[in-house]
Amino acid sequence: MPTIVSAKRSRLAALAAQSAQTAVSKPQLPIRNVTARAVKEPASGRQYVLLKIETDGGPIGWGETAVAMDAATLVARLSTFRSLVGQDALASQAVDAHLVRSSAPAYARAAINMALVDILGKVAKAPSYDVLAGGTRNKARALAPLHGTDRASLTASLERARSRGFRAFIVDVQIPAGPVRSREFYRSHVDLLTALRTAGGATAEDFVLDCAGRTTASEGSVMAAALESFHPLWIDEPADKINEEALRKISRESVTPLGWGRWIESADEFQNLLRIQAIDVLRPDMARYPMANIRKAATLAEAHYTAFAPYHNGGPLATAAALHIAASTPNFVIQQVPFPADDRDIAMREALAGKGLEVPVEGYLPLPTRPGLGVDINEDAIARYASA
Amino acid sequence: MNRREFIGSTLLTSAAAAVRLGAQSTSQPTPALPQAPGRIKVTGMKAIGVTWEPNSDRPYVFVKIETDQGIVGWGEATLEGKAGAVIQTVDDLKTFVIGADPMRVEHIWQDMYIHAFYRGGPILVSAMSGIDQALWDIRGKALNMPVYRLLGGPFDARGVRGYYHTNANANNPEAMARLRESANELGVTAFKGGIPGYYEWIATNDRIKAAVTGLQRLREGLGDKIDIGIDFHAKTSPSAASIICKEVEPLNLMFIEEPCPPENYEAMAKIARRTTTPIATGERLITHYAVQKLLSDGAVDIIQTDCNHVGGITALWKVAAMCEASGVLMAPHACEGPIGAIATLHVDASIPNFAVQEICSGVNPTAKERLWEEWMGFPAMRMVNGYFPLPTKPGLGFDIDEAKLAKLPFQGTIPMARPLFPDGSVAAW
Repeated sequence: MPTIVSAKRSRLAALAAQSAQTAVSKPQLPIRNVTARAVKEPASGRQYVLLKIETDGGPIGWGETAVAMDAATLVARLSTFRSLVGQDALASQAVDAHLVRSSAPAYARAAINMALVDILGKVAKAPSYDVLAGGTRNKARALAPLHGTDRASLTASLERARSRGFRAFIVDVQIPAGPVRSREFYRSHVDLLTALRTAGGATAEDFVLDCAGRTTASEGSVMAAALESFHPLWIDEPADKINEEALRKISRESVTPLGWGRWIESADEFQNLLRIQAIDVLRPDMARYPMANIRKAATLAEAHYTAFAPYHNGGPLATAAALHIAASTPNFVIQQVPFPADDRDIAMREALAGKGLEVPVEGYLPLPTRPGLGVDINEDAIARYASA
Repeated sequence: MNRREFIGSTLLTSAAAAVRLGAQSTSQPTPALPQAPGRIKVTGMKAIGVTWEPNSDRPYVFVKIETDQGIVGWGEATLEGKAGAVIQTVDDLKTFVIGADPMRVEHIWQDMYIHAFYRGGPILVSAMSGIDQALWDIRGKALNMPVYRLLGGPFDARGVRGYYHTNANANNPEAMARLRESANELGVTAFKGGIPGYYEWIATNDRIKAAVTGLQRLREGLGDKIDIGIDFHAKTSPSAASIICKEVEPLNLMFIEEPCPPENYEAMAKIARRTTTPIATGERLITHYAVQKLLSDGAVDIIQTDCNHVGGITALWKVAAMCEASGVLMAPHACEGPIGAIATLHVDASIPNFAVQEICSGVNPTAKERLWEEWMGFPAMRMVNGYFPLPTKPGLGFDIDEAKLAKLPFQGTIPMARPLFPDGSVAAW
């Protein structure tokens, strides 16, 4: 799926460069220091990295990322971004352009942009969503993962999430052992989801099936068709390869909505997904794509009349960041929240970022109210839960 | 029972069957998003028509929004040839704005657009553009920051690179020498010119040669170091434009603008595919939704949507985001009053795919530019060393003297030019 870039367009790049290369000569709020620490949830072992940006005489900003990489390597790589020192903390787009020019990975750009959005809101003394475009909604619908591998454990997980306040759930595809996908594979998922819907009751009956790229396009297509009359919210990542043929095949063979995007790190890939009309829910990952770019991707989706629901499997700070995007983005539908399976992990998330942030009321998360991302990161808790 | 009540009652009785996202979302929509206590609130809005020149087809339409906290916002909704309609439309939109929280600019934009039911069109969206700019002005003032900071800018301390229009006769070497000298003195690095006369559906050899020779002389007169954009102003057909675009490829123009009318994207794409000269268009596009097809057709290299017509700062920023994903640059149109032009600078300063900013002025200020300076207290939209300096004050970054505007009251709408071909049929200009 090549982006349309003609020879004349690449020649034009020089024109843009002429207007964008020069760094701001006198930063209004210079970055003083950039540090990163990794933390690890005691039960799940899930790790994420908190990035701290200090400024000269201004507020501290916090960002977060989490990618499949050992924490020490991630922290070491993020720490190389001390080259940001001296740049203007209030000009996040110029900082991001600098990072792009220096081939910074998307997860680093994500953490840095989040911290700068935090700083800008704190300087403006307003919640970040007010800075971005104002709230177009007062609360954001939440989606909780269910944990388990059989009906009993998943039902118990649903009950637990439901009592926490969640009303919509994302369930992992259950891949059987062995290579054969029999009719049973599809029917068992319909049965499982139907049983969970019954358990959830009338106010908690919405589900996403997460195929997580673990099915082939063919299997994903049959699954999508099998679930058509169940009316899941959507099925997520139903193919192991994201190529044009696979995506077209699935979207043409059924009307079940399809969610894609957690692996994508560039705007042109989102653009291509939308352009071939193969996507119903655009799902950039909070951990691997900068907030500003997620909002731009949401705009691409908006122009294609397509829903937007960021993927999130990291820590509580990124949940707060996602809420600011949700508040200010018209085509947002629901925010995935990594609701842990174990109370010890909940305790850690609350120790890091405070209570209430990830607790929905009747299925909806309240918006943060304090300046910036609205989270006071507890550095003692970072030390306590530091990743080994 | 009117139609809306009928639809509403149908939804109520078939709620169980309705397509829905969740149990809670089937509740009836509320007329307005509830206000949190203590939030800033809009208390008044008016459109101010300014007939700054008796025969102008574009009397300025400015929008002034007042709040309960004393913060006032200004925006521009000027629409050529339709001033009266836009003034009335701003008035129609009061329901959406007065009493609302001005921080919620995205919400108010969506409310005005989606709840119009008949979406889009230049009159509605120009009115929305003025309101949107005024809301961003208020947002910046309330947050004590220039608007470009809210958008993540700026990229460049020098400001925003711009171009003036060249009104010099390319066939007059002395006039070209004077223009080049002025450009060097002022540090101007780019100009835009046009092609002379009118073009029929199939252009004659004589007309094509006149256009090509004029552009060659313009390049010779300005030299190789100055970027030149050429506006065809959609007065050429795809057939005529393709030929001229091809002939002037050796001149390495910065862009050719509107080589055919903007409604038919396939026609624009056909021209774009036949030349290496970059194609620019978009000043007549209304909302970011209208840009999508141009981008997916690969019909354009530079987008020129106008902050006063596309839907204000909100929509202009969204257009830029969409173009960024397709490797398309932004060179926004600015050919009305000073408020919309300054609003545009804030977007320009905050986007990675910005190319160059227009102002419909020449190297030498005229009565118009002097009037702008008198209203705003600084030389608005005049370049310094080839760049428009960035405003430093919060919001859009200017104060406008309303008493001075009141001296030039609105005198009604005047249509744009209405040229005819020699046979009496309608020509584009």
